[in-house]
Amino acid sequence: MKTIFKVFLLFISAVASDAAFGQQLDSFSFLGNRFNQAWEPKSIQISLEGSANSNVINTTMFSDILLRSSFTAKAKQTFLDGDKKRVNLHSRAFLRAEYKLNKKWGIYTSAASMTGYTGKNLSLSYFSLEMQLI
Amino acid sequence: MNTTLQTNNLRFLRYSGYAAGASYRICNTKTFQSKLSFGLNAVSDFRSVSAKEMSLYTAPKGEYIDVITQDFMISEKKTNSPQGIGVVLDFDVDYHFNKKQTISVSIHDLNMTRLFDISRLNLDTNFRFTGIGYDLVRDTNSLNQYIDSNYLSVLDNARSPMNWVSLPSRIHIAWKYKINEKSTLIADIRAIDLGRYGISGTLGLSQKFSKKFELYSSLGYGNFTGLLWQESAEYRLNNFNLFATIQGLQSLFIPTLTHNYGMRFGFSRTLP
Repeated sequence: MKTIFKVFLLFISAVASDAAFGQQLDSFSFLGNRFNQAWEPKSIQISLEGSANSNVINTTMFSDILLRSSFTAKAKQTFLDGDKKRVNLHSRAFLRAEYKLNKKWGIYTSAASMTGYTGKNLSLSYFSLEMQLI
Repeated sequence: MNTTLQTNNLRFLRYSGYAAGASYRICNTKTFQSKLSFGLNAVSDFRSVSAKEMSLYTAPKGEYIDVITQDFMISEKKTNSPQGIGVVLDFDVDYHFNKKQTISVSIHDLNMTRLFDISRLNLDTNFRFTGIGYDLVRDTNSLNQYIDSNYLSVLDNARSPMNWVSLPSRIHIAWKYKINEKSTLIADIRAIDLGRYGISGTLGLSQKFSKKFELYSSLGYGNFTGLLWQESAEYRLNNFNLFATIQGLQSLFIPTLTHNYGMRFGFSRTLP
């Protein structure tokens, strides 16, 4: 009887400490983790993201690609003056939708597009930097 | 305009595709939560180029382009139909060490993809492109139509099928320290394709201003991003959660010294 009581106490203390360590249910889906934590049936999450990153191409050049037909002189010169021991470029567009069917299962669909470039010791004896080269 | 461009250890990859599948809640205890998503991905566009050394010389008025390569590989597609299909896995786990500390690990886009009708050309030689300009990045069809006919036998010998690829996966590890009920300190590290297309780390503070509004500010650095300043906000209204992130805010002040742009929007709700 004494042993059973001890085991019971041990079990209660383990559950209690587990509950104390546990994180409270977050109210935020993206900055928190409510969508997966709560896993509420019939809940839906849609996210869309786009990014363009480079260690040498500056954001004015990204804007030039999006909005203009040629690079602005200052942005081009900053690029040419920069350190090009390694040139990295990564861009990504991503769309995902997930729907929770029940307490265990969900379904999702996504679309993704990625471009990545990396090269060492880029040297340009004369680089016209026309858009099509990028 | 004549141009010479030289680089080594070049690697270029472009792809786009779609995926669909199921997500499964593996475990949900007070201290441990994990989720697995698995599905099929269809690749609609694929281009891969790599070279140990490459030099491009564009002649005046663009009459020809000389390409000098070492260990050069380029993919070629034979048809415009879907480029491949494969399986994709995502795995997410949260472990709460104690009341204050949580470690989150996500591995996304772990995949194995079977390509259709795509070949690889492995070249170690010099070429002269004449006539129509060939864009290494955008033109994904065979090189044959662009190249001097004397080189065609070299191309045929260098061509082999490209059957399986693993497209870049993403790893995210975050450590979260709850300072108090409203503030959480978050340090994280992200790697794309095990760092081949970037590795970055950030340190940020998440602040709940009310039950409805949370703001997350972070600063970091990455080898593909340079300085990384990110602001995220989430607003909760009944069953709706609206979320937005802006990356590269420093571009407002120093655009020529900022190397990244990014935006993310999200929406979630429980349907009635």
